[in-house]
Amino acid sequence: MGTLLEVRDLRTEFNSEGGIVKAVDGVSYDLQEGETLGLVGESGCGKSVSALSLLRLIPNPPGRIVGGEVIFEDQDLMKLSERQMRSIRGNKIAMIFQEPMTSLNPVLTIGRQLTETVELHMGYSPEAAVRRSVELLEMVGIPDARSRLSNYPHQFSGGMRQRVMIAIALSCSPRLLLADEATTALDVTIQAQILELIKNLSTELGTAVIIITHNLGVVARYADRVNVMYAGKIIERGTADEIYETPKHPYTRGLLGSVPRLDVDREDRLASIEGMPPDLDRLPPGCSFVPRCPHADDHCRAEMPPLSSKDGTEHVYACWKGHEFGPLELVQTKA
Amino acid sequence: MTINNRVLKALVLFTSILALTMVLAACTSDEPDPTPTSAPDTQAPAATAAPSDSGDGAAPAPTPTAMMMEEESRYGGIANFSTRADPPLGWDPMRSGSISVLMPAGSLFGMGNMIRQCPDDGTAVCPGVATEWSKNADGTAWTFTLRDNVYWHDGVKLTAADVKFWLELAVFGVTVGENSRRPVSWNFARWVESVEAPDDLTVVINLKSPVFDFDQLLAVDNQILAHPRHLMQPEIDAGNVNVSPLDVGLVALGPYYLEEYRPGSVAKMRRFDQYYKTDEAGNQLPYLDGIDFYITPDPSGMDTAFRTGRLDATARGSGFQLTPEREAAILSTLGPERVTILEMAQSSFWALAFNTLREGPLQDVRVRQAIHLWLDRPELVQVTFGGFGKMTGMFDPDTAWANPGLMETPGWNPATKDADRQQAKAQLAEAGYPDGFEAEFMCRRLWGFVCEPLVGQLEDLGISIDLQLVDDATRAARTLEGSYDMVMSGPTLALPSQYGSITSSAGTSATADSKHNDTKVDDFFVRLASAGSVEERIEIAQEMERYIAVEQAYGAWLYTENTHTVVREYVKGIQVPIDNYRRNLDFATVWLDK
Amino acid sequence: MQKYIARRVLLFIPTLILASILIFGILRILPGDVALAILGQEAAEGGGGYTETQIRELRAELGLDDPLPIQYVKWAWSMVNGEFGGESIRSTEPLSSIIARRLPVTLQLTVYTVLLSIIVAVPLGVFSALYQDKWPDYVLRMGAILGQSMPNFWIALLLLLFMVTQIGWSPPLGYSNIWVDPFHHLQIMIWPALILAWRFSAYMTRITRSGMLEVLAQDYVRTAKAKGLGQGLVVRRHSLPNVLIPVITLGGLEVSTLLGGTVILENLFGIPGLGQEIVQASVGRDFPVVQSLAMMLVFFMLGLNLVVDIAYSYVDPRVRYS
Repeated sequence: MGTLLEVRDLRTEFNSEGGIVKAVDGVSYDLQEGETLGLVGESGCGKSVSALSLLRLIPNPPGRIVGGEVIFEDQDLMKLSERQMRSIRGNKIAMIFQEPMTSLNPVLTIGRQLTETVELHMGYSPEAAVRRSVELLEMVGIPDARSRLSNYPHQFSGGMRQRVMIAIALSCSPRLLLADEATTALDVTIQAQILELIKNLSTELGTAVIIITHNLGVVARYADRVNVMYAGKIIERGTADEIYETPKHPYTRGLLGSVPRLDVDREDRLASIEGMPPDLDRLPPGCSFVPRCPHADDHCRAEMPPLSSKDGTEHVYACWKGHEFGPLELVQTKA
Repeated sequence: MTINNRVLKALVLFTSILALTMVLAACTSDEPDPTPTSAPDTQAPAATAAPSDSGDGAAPAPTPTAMMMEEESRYGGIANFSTRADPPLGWDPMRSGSISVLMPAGSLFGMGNMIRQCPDDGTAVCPGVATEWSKNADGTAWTFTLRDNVYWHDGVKLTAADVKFWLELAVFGVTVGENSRRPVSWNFARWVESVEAPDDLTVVINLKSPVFDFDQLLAVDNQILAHPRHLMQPEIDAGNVNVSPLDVGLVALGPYYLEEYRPGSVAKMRRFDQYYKTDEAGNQLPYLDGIDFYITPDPSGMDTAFRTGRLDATARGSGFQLTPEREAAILSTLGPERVTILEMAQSSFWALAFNTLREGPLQDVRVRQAIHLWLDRPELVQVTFGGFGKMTGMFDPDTAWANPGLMETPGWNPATKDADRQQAKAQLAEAGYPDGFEAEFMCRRLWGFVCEPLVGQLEDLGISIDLQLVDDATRAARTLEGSYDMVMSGPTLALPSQYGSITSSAGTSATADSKHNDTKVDDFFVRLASAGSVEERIEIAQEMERYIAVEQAYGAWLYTENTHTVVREYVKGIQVPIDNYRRNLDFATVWLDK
Repeated sequence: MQKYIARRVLLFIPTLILASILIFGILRILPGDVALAILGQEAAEGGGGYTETQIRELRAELGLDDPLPIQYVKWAWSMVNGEFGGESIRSTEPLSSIIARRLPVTLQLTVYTVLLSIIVAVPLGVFSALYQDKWPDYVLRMGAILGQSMPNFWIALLLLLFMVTQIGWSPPLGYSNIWVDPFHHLQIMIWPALILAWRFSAYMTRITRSGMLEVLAQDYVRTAKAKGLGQGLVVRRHSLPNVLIPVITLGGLEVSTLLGGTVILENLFGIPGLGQEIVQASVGRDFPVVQSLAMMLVFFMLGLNLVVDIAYSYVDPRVRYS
């Protein structure tokens, strides 16, 4: 399997009242064909922005991609014309969004929203597009697919809507699927179903997936490799097992301490990390995690650690002290 | 499908509303408006010449193209005139003497009836559909001889019975079952005892008591014969006693017949080939092929249309007559050489009326005279009307009714103004008000622009004025109560057509503006009405003017406004009324020089 | 949905009654009584004096001798049974015929205005939103503010004056029905429609712009872009239908005020609609006409609100199926 995607030093900024926000601050990673990659972090860490940056869908103003390369199938997406870019969106790279409630157009039928993609990218006739849409709906497990084509989004439940979103995203058999918090808004039982669906279909279609979530538990189960982001940067990367078993960055360790459990309220999930994510427009000079880190010292405050590993493995992390941490003993969060 | 279903449905809904509107418009506005079934060619007028002494008797109808015209008047063309509103009250001159009726209707109806006021002299009487008239020795029976060539627009010949029908309708009204039509308040009506039609061309009016100039009363221009018996009688018999000329398609006797009337837009009059009049050379009138009267309810809209050549004449009537500014704007667009300005006296006379029934200084005739002496009329005319007007007494100084030389007497004469004003001060002091006094001045709100300049002058005299601008209902109510010291008395109209209004503003009636118990004033009106001749009437009028306006000064008579209307330079033959813009509206002699 | 419509219709009726009482009441609390106002005006303008008998007769003719509630009920009933308050004092024409003749003209003018406004305002509003805070947006917003802040009749006078002095042209006179002489008809109607549309489209542009901005920030627009749709499709298919919902609602409500604007312009341009009649009737103290036509206008404003509410439910599937 070859490399499908190479992201090099991607930087995206937003103008805000407080100044320039570096939402994505030099992110680099790569993705193999058919691989499932997890992109994890708290909300506001830049993971969604980095995904939107791949598709160049950053609203401008106020946002702007200021640098970096995104090599997809040997092309730098950042250098393509808008027209060329459009032929990639929804076609080679598709995206599923967090809010199934609002991500579908309320005044268009499901059918219309499904057919337009294949009509556009695959040149299907309207009839062929309808046939394809029925196929797709059946594929994502929506019963009575043909008759539901003429329904409106508000006539579907949340989980069903997300299935529709998946059907839309997969309609052109994309090479890469970006799933941005695709299950966050759903009931826990539905979440698992949807993730299974994504997993199965992507395997079937040979589609690479980037699962963007704040939930390490999801990633651990479905991703091959995981990138952990904090304050616009990737601060740890490794296989799902490595990240799950021996997280090196205190932030990752904190996140793992907050893997959701069915018996704990959602609000408590991140309770084990003290403090709030930093303001991205006034980051401290050294490691961004210092204010929340129990292990921080002067070195941490003075200098941002590079993303590396002591032992030269693929499991890299941006922490001066990462090598000191052993495997994580799963401490249960307060019950 | 780029637009989704719902929006499409909304669009369909919207388009259907649009379509419905259009269909509605088509159904309602295309309804043919009452149009006379005029058949000018089916019944040619009797070509037998019946020359009348007045020189405008019938003559063979000439073919316009073959005409050799005297004074280069020319046949043909449609004139575009303007009128300010749809004629109210079914275009019925029995119900309204408003210019809104008369301006378009005059051309359909003609002016007057059997007789009319002469176009160039309001005090003289000219033939209408009658050619001759005479009174018996004691002035109680008047006999009229009709022309033999008068046709209604539908081709039916006019007979004495038609005139009798009209006279009786006006004088007595009519009652059918529970419906009754009120008599008309025209001045001649109160004297009429009965009407006879001994033969087809003779009408005899019997009077209750002698009236030696009954013809003067009858000839008033707005007392128009526009009520065809053959069309109205069936309606009346059916109970529709208030049938109006509009109800029967405006079939009348005038120089033009109605081709089309679209309310709110236009009334199209076309040449009536059987019109009974000729010009002095014996050429059939009217000259024009027709007149389109456009209804222009907004003066700015009217001015604009005139300035761009869409109108050949502006409308008459208050609000539509030109102001100096508007006239200047028109002249600047078109250039003076392309416009003819027609100036008409309105014969409506403004006065500052006094209430002598209320306790106060105005009960003293010296005070009232002081005000009369003090007021500077030329200045008021300038300030109030931009100079479009002239000072008057109770009558137009340029007519026979007025006292000759009145405008050179104290109060009016500008040359003696300084002396008059000293005299005014002196009289005020003599009456015990050397430092002036306070007075309530009631003024109709719409006339604020008339009253305010007066207030300035009165305050200069030392009278402290409390100007009260009121609406019509309040003004009417307070007039009945007499709760004011002075009031702006609106324009009263000229004799002989308007005895009534002069009585109402100057007499002892409760609706009069000036308040007094002087029965001598009422006597004047009784004497005026029963006077035996024009000369006697004029004498009484002059005596009345001296008594009311100068000796007793029940009001300070001020001025009249002049109506300015404009026509394009190629519009010829308009008979400009010297005394009242409501006259000479038949436009039979108008022609276009282009 | 049926329940929703039924509720709206039920609410419509008491509102209408309340409005009719207001109109009736306002004309009754004018100073003095109506008969005196009519006769007083005639007397003031030289129409001759009047007597106590005349006052009594006119009062009887106008039905002013009845107690107020009876007067109201009589009038209200005549509005329902199609007599619309009897006949005009001034012209003696039955109000039903006045309304039948004049209402379609006013409706036509309104329809032209709305059509023009939509044709202009929706694209401009979208354009303005797409170029938010860039110079085309500023220019359009400036034009919109001008259109909303200048009085209609003043614009109309300026326009007429401009045409007269600069090109020596003015709209033709004598209104024609569109079926009889469409060119003539349009030459007259286009000007008031344009002037009214300026104001109206200024408003519509504003709501389209703000609606568009709001919609463009919606998740489903992002979805549409992520599908690779071009700007055109994103705007036409995914944004506009959603923008139309507020535009129809707010625009429909604003049409009510448009009816008010036609009153003055109809008179100025000589268009024989309801507005012209109301102006002429007010000047001529024609109380039955003023009263009934005012009621008609109110009826249309309220009716329009109702239609808009129902149309709204049609355009928005979320309301339709709830």
